[in-house]
Amino acid sequence: MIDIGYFALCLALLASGYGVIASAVGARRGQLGLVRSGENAVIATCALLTMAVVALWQALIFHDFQVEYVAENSNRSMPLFYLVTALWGGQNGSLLFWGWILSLYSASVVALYRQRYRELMPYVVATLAFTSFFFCIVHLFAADPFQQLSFTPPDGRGLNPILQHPVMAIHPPLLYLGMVGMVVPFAFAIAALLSGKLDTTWLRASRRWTLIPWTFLGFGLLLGGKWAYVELGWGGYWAWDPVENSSLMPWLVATAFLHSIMIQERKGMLKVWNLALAILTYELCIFGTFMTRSGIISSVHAFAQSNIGPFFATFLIFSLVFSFGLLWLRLPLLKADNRLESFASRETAFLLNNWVLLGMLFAVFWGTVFPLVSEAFTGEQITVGAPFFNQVNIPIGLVLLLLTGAGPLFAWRRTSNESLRKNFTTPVTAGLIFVGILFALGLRDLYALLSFGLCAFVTIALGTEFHHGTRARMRSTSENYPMALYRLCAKSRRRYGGYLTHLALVLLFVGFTGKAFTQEFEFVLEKGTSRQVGNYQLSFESLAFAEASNHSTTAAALGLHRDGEFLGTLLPERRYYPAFDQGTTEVSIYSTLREDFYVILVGSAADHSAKFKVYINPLINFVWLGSIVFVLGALWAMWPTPRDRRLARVDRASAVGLLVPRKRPHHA
Amino acid sequence: MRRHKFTLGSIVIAAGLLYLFVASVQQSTATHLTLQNLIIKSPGDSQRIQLGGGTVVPGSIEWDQYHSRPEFTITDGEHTLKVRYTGNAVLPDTFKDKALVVLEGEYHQTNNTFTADVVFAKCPSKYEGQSYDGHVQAMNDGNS
Repeated sequence: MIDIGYFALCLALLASGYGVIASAVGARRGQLGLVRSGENAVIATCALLTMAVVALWQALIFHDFQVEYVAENSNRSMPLFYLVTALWGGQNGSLLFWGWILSLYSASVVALYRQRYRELMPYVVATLAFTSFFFCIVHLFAADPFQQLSFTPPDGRGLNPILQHPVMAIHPPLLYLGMVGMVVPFAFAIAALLSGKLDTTWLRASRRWTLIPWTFLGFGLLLGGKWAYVELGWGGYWAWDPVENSSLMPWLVATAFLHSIMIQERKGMLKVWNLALAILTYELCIFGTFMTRSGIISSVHAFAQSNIGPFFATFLIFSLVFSFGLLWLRLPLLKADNRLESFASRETAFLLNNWVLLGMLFAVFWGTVFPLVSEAFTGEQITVGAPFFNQVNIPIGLVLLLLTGAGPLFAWRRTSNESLRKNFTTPVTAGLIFVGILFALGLRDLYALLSFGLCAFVTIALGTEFHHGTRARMRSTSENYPMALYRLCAKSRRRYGGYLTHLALVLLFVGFTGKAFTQEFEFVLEKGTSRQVGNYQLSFESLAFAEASNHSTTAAALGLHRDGEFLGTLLPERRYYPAFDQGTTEVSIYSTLREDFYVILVGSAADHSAKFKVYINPLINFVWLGSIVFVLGALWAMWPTPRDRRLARVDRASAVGLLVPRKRPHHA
Repeated sequence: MRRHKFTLGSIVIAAGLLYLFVASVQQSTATHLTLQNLIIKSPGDSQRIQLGGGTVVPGSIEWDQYHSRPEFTITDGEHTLKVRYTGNAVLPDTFKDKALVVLEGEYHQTNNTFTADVVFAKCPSKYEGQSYDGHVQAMNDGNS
């Protein structure tokens, strides 16, 4: 089976290489047969990589420890579920997984667009196939997942218990689906540049293909945060670690892209900018993969030093030079059809949104690569910590939050002073009143006041948008309020799905702002005693020791009261897994929408007294709530509408006569 | 005219961002050094150091009675350094014998010790820090 896997990789290399050449030559010469053959090569690459993945899964599940990867990342005691997920547990396997997802995306594009976007497709296929070709080189020559040992060890090393958690099984695939998927908009951008078909066709094709990975990536990031919060026991969910940053960066640029697409569709402006954003998103995905896997920046997440660094660096430089060089050559064809007409317009709001997102990107990028930059200039690696990222990103983030609500209040082209006044009065008043109330209640933190005020402003601004739209619809139809609201949102999914993600951002910011009020306690309690912790009373009732099949545990039972009312029993644990010589902290959380009471059992002494660490995290559940709303909004926005289906039919019909396949007998 | 206004606006925004960067960078930096370089350069007591490239010497971790605030020794195979942890956070679960650690804090040259208030630990078994031979070796060590 292993040999079949390796052989499939070799064939995938050939197939993808052939796909590049056939598509490029076919497009240049206008030979449909070659173009189709290139598309089939992409499908074949996908099938071959699927075989390779199945082969590795087979080796993992049936414990073929002669395969180095299997020996290093699994063992006999692991349940089937984690054997399956071990495919992406280590460097070489996860790269194969990367390449496989890439081929799945590529094959989907080919299968869906057999009759659409015909002028672009050959170049799209060539770009996708080239990326696959590169990954096959990496699989075969730098990170071979099928590398065999000269002997067969009796058992493998296995997976660290910290990572044996269901979230860890889905968090990496979500991130990969996000990072890898950005190759599709990139391929369409390159196709537009190569073919010279620089109207909005490529954008129309790219929007949904950006929305899908963007949703995966965003959800993956938030889920990673949730896991860190529940499992790692440091009370937080985001640490500005280089690896976290490297997946945040493409997400920021993709967000900017999703917004500026609309300006080009509406106004024919920002053509160069949009192409640049699509390219940049992709390059950042490659850069992130390079950074986390080459060991050039030390990170808690990073994989070990390995020899894939030079491969990725070469690919990164080549694709950067090629894409931006091509963009430069095409500049004369990319003149804007319109100019900005007024400051007070939707266009300006979008433009500002782009600036802010890119500013944030630059801040994160700068902080992440600062050690390398400083080493190049001073010979010393200077690292910047989380305070830098927070300090820079909080003000930028607040401006972004403002735009989330203000943007939709501006009209396209220009907004009259009167309608400005009309649209802004209620939300601004609401925001100010809310700030006033919070101030009166004793809140003095400037950023928190600003953030909460803006959250109120945005909520009311967006609420008004929904409300006005619904009322207008009720006037023209006989529908009742809920029905009109539903129909309104269903009719312009893009718009109202977008607003829903804006509301998600509000929820996230409420959660982020709560961070400013985190309280931290550390104390020792004797068994049978209790103490005041914040507004809570915590009583230490008992301490128990137990042995489970693969670990031993020490657990404390704590009674939690507030104002005399019993809230629940908390059971923080310390576990020890002897097979891995690994201790784990199992935190216990009493969770309400208002705040989390988060307890860690630090350790216990011989006299049965124990040390605890408590975090009171206000509003943190708004982060998780925001994550859910984010996904719902994104799904709402990307769901195909009847108009999309109509457009697809039109595209197919207009493709007749362009590059229509004649009926011909199938070649095997 | 309008074009100029937009350009001016962009410049103001860019300048604001740049100021934000420069002001913030100065406040939260540390110099990254390996154990080897730390001993060669021996920076002053007040300089904030991020120390990488050391692993925890097996058996060197001494916890207090509540399994917190440990003292331990790190090594790069050549040099060793005694470390005292003074931070508030609970140490990550990955912190244990042989773990690859990144520390932040100050170096005290006079008695060759390091006071760390931040400890990151990488677990070699997941992050592929050791080869398979290393694993076999570790298994044998554990058995003997």
